[in-house]
Amino acid sequence: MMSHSHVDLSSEQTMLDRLWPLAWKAGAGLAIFGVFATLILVFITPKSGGDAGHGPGAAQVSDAHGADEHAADPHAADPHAADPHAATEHADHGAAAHSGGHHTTGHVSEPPAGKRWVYAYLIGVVYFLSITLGSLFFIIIHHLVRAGWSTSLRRLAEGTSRNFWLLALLMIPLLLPENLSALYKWMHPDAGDELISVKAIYLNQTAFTIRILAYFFVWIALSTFYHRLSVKQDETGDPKLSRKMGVVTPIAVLLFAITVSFASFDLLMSLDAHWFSTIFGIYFFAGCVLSWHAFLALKVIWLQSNGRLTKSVTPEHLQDIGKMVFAFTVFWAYIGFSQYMLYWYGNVPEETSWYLRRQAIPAWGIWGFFLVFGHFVAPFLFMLSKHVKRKRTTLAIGASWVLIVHWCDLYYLVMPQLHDGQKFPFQLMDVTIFLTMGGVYIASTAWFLRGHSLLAKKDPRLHEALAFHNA
Amino acid sequence: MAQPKGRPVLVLGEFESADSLMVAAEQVRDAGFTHWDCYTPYPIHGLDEKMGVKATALPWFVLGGGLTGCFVGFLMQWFMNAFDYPFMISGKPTWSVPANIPVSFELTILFSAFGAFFGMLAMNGLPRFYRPHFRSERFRRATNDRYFIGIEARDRSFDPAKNQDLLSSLGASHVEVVEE
Repeated sequence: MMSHSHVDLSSEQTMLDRLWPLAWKAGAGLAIFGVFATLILVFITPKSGGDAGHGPGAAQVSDAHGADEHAADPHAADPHAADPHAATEHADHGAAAHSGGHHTTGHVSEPPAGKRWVYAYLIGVVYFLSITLGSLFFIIIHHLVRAGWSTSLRRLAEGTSRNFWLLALLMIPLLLPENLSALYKWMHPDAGDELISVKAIYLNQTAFTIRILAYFFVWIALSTFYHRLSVKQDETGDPKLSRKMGVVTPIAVLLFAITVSFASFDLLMSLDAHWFSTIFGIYFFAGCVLSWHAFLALKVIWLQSNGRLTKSVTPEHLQDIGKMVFAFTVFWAYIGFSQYMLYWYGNVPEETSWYLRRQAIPAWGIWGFFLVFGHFVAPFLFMLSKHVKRKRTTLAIGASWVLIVHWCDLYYLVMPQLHDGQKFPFQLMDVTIFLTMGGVYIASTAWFLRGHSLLAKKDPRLHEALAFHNA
Repeated sequence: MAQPKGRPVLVLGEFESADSLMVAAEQVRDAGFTHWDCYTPYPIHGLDEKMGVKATALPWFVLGGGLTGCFVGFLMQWFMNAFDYPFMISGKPTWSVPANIPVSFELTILFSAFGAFFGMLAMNGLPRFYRPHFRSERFRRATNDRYFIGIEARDRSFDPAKNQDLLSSLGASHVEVVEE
């Protein structure tokens, strides 16, 4: 069977070469544009509004009275509270309660003046962290199951996974106390807030910082290990290196699962320290793997249209990347719905509060429905056909769309915490900060891909990838 | 091989290797045959292309099955819970989308599988208990270590003598005509 697939790779271009300055300049250009646009937005925004939330109103929301917060919460007592059909009724409810001045749940942070950007920054960091985590997962699974087909794509994942260095740098501003306080209510809980005080042993600045450092230590160690050995194999061709990478993998996959789950709890779920979801880590993981494969598809298509990896990566591989994108849109929906379904059915106030905040105003209700259709139904139907996955143009369209809605998904996880979901917080700054990081990320990815072959050319299983054929 | 008794219905060519079968299949395809097939002990990647097999319509059966299952799931739950025997459970609406999704999802998968399984059987004309190929002693090796091309009588270019010559010239190690 294999004998029918002799692929001559000798004429294939597998170095980034002249594409490196191109990618570097494009990334830097995007980043500089993003920085200037953000600065301009900050300067033209009147000091009283926009940036700081909504001035006195914001202060009012964060000024909670711990004791009566639940008693005063009209949603918690409403049996139909979680019914999505009642979303519009809810909005009315919420607005009425808000104008009455008593709708304060109190356990979400309200950023002080000038700290609104931290939220946009968090989304940016988590977005690119999710892609990088996805690439690490790709490498680990490849070795865990001794995959053949993905050998010709693995170097691209290895290069991308080195971006943990960049993300560790980007994390630093978030760890500063004033920025942590802007994000997380557990940094400065109200007196008598028992639900936070019992978690104080886990949710405090020291423990949080140590955990983040530990996650990055694991991620950087694993990504460096796999990348170094793989590059070394390019020179020596020693098959023992493959074995060495494989042996570590069962531990790596456990470490990965634990760190990803807890990182998502820390960075995203603890935005509302009263709320919890045991499936949250998997929800975040689904987004990681999804966004990574979409990113990989675009990267491969870009490289191929510039004459790189034209022989070792075939439409068969594109189809499989497309399958993974398709599969993980479904997986994302499955996990997202599992969380929603149980909370909707149980209708327990401490569980529904998270969704109620996302149904309080029509804008967030519409955003939620947009995710159902834009993040699941549309890509599901679009990516269903084999022909869509095998063609560069259509796969690129699908992958780009997925990368956009993945941002929308993270926005939906983070932003309704602002103003307790009572006011739609979108600002152009949310986009410009994201674009800045995107530019830096593109340049950094190219940095880690340059200098080595884009193909693990002496991997003993490369021939399997070259002979790979979808049945 | 028994003496010819009836109308010839099949010309069988036996090949020793998958490679020689692949080469021959390409030639048979280019010669314009339409009712013919290859028989191999295991799936051979790329043979479909060499044979010029058109893309299967099976995915449409699966899609149709899936959509039907989804619709049936919602309809069934609406009929049971909201129409035939409405019953208030923990303050939930008698019919609502979130509660209906798990069952509809499972039925979507079940009906998709039905579409794939029964669609495959129907398109292959299965189950079928007899084919003229079974008359050939040598054909038994198609499940072991030999590769066959069979040209059927319903093909417009069916001509036992000419077809046998063709297969021999394409490298068949043995050719035979199977009669009714």
